[in-house]
Amino acid sequence: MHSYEYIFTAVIASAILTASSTIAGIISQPSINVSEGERVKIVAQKIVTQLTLNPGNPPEWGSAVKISPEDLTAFGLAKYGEATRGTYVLDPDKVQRLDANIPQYLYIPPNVAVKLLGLGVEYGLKLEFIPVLDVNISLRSGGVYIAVSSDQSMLPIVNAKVVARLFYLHDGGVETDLKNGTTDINGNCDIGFDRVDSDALLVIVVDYYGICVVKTYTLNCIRAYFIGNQLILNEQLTITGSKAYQVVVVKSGETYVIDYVQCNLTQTSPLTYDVTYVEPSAIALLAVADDGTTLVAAYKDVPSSYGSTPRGTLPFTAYMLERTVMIGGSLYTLRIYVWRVIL
Amino acid sequence: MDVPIEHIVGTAALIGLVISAALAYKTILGYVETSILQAQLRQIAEYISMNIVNLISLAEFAYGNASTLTVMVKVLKLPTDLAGEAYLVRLVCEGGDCYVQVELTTRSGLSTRLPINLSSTGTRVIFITGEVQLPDHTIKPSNAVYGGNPNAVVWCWKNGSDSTCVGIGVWMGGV
Repeated sequence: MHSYEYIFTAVIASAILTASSTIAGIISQPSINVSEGERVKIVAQKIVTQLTLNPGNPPEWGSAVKISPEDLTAFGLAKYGEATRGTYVLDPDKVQRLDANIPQYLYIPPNVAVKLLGLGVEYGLKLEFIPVLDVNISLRSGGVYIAVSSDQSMLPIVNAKVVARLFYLHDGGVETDLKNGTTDINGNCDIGFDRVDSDALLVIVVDYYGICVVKTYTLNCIRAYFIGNQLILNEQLTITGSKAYQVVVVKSGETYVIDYVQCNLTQTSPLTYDVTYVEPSAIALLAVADDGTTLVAAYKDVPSSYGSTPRGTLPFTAYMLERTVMIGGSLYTLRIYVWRVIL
Repeated sequence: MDVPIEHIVGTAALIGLVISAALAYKTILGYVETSILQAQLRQIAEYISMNIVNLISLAEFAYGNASTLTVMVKVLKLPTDLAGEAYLVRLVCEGGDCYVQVELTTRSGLSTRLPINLSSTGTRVIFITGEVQLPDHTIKPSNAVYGGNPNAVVWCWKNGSDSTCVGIGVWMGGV
């Protein structure tokens, strides 16, 4: 053999080593990815249990507005009750505090939730709240037009019972108008109201064989927030007579009823009022302000999404889980996305 | 028979190269295998951690502030071995933090430790890493169980208004 033949043999041996090492690394990667993917699934399952069954700590953190994000030691959205518990029943006040539009001192930033859930910087989290029935409301002259479809397939929901109650400002007080209807073959329901052009709050309950969705719609009202036993205003207003109306949705027999009760308010700061007693099924609070010229409507709003990433920028590796939950009498699909940030 | 010196040097270098290549290849394969095993160990630790947190949540949900004589049990569905090697699951508490530790019995250096996020439960949790007498005698608490045991369980006992005992063990009434 000549010297160049030894060198050539050495080059071939080195090439074989490099190639086989590279291939070994490549072949093992799918196995590692599968393990990491399974781990993300397990983390998602753990989080969904914590969110839906755990009230968090302090357990009444949703309604107690004095509890700030820094005071939370555990994060969970389940409704807390000393005597009764419901599976997958979420507290509407806790869910409201995930809405970035509420006053900032009440908002729970996603990084706080992620930290309390023990995800650290390794995982990202996003929650979506999707009503199981898509209820679209459009105004027409002398009434409202309600279209009901399923959230998944957008198919029309036929024969759903619709109860609608309009609360409107009239002569410095609040008047109401209650109507019933049923959706037709196209999932539409046309309900006539005489006073849809004034300051008003429209509350609609759609009941499709036990699947219930409550929807609120405001017309020229001043928007406020109803969290716990507090009415929180966006601007300074004088509530006439320090009185308010709580709108409640209750099931009576086979049908849903939209009713209201009057309650007293006590001003605690320029923008906040305490409600003397909050009905358990209250969904909204109405008050007349500025000597009967303005209607203030505060209702419990459910954010469409909440998470550690801006809307619409989910990584393709995100793992998704769904659970059907009840929030304030309405059924929602809670969709949870979890993904690894550090790969 | 005269052999030129360059042939001796060349042959020795080639033999050395082949041996070193084989050693390097074995090292790389070992590294790859360790990476896979580490990922699988983490996956098992995460699964056990999930079951512990789920049981605590369920106990809180079901019993609230009441104590009970019922011990909640979840049978762990774990692989019998990892790459043909036995492994051990331990609960470890150090400095106020609790971890699930999963380790291969044949390789002392290969283990993973995952913290159990107790702050997410909002209750005072006592991790039992030793002997304890449970109301349910079919559960034998232990601080370590073999992964291949089909009766390995996590258990949770709400023994007081503000405390919950949690641990791992073996279910004696199983298969």
